[in-house]
Amino acid sequence: MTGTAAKKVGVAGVGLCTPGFRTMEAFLAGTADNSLPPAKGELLDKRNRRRASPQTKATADAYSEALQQSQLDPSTVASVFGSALGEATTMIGLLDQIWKADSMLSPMRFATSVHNAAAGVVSIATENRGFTTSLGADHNTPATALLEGIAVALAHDTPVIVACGDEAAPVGLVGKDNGWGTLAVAVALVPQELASPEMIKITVPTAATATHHGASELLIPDDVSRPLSINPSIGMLDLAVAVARKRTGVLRLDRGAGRGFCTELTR
Amino acid sequence: MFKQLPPVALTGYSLCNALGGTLADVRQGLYDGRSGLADSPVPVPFSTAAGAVTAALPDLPSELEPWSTRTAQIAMLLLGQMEPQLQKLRERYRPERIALVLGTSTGGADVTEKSYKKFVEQGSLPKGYDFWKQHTYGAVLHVVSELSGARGPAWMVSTACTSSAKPFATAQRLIAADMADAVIVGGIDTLCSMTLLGFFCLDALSDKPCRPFGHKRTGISIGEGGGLVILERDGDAMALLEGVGESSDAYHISAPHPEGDGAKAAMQRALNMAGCKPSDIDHVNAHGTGTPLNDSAEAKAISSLLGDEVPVVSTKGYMGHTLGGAGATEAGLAVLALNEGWLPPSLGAEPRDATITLNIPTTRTTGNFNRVLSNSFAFGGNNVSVLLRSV
Repeated sequence: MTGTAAKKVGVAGVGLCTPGFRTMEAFLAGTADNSLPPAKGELLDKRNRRRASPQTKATADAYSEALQQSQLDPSTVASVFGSALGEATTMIGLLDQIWKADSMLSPMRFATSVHNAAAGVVSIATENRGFTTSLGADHNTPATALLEGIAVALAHDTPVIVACGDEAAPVGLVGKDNGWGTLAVAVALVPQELASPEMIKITVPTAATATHHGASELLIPDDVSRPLSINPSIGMLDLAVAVARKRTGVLRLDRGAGRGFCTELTR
Repeated sequence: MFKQLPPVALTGYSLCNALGGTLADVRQGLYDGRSGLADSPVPVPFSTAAGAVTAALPDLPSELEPWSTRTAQIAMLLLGQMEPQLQKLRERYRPERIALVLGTSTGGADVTEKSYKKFVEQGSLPKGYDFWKQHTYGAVLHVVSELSGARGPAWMVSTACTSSAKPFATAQRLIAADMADAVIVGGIDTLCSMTLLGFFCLDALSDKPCRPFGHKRTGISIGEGGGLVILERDGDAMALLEGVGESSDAYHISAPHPEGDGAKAAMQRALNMAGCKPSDIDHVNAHGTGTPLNDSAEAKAISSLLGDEVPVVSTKGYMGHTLGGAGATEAGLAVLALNEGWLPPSLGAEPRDATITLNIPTTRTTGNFNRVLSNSFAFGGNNVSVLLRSV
């Protein structure tokens, strides 16, 4: 797209939840703690936490960290939730009930099988009656979630939290060799006018190749394990890490698996 | 509070549902007051009516054959109806400035649930099943992108029953922020066992054709199909998208706020975004699913914000609740009301529920409709109200 290159938003906070790491700070330190229990979903109220899938809990944890870091108002901040497959494990659980147990479905499992389950329970927990949405676009999910979030920020001059996550791959459907690990990452975006000078700013992602961004350095993402590197949400992790490390340059948001959307990080 | 955005031009739309595979078929069904609901073609261990698409669906071109699913075929049928408008769109804008924002709730669930049955029974997925080409959201996006020529960013909104209403808001934002010049929006869902069983287990499924706002309403009838809509910065508008209100109930994952607070907030925000007053609204295409709770909450919301004079119609008695396809379908029906000046009867609303005081026409009604709200509400407490104006 043209006409958007100069438009930027500030990144006011980041958050992460993946097995072995509970926070972005822990991830940056690089020492995994494999004794950690699965994501807790501490942001959620007790009832919804009990019913939430591991993916919803991980997304809520990452969202919560980005929210705290950015100090945005939880009851009003807009939110975008991206996931390539959404509640895939919950869906497979329903299919097992249909085809293996030959029984009726669990009403609560059905209600939480929707792609926007995380968005719904986070809005309930934060008493946020404002804007939220959920979307997916396979390996372009991080880029398109950012596009949706940046459009909200630019069109309405308002902050927005963009959270992306995909749970461990349903290997029965994608194949054992293609299994990825659970990952949830969030970034808090603010309109440029509200961004402080020290914040990293990002441009509207475009599908132009990195070289079209001019002389800016192409950022090389940190090494991560293969199961993490093929998670459809990996681009959001690469962005959050680059922001946390205060790197500048052009970042591809899909590690080669999508259409090649890139964003430029600047001071 | 989201600020006011410039209106965008709606330059084309297409529909496909249980009433037929073309806009003309759907229009005629509504005009005749004919329901397309019938016994569910998907085998389930209970009785229910469903809105199945019975129109002949086209075969995808050979190069897209691996992506061939019922959803993709419906998408191709919908695109074919709009080809003249799509051609103008391609002439007017560079392909990368045309974005694609669709919505779905079920995605490829119909294909996967059948394939998974074989996996359970025989230990392997059927030959020809490809998760990435038939199940995921990217699959349908690829087909629509290839067939329409849109090469801008593409994504699928999935917020249950508001999935194809929210893309209208996204399109208005993308155009306002100069991130696109045009956006193809809409959405499609198809019938599958999982949704029928799921709503049955929630005690929200009607065994007979649904009766929105009626005294005898007992639940929803699921339908399939959807609609596609072209929204542009400017162009030969059939209607204007003036505003979209979006809200969250922050109340319950699957039940609406009993007083319809979230629904009312969505409608109020649509008015605010368009710079309109409640008295500017001439008609509401209600979400009107036919469940006792949903209709009661929506009726309270409409009554409290707009009063009891404005005609309110639910069209779900004609084609069922098309879930992720409902928002685009009903926005299309709102355009029909704006352009033709008549409303179909709200099927099933007689005998009336005495607690609902809205003006719900049960015969075909003519009038001058300049502004219409189209409501969509969803699991997760997600609410959308789309405000369209005549030109």
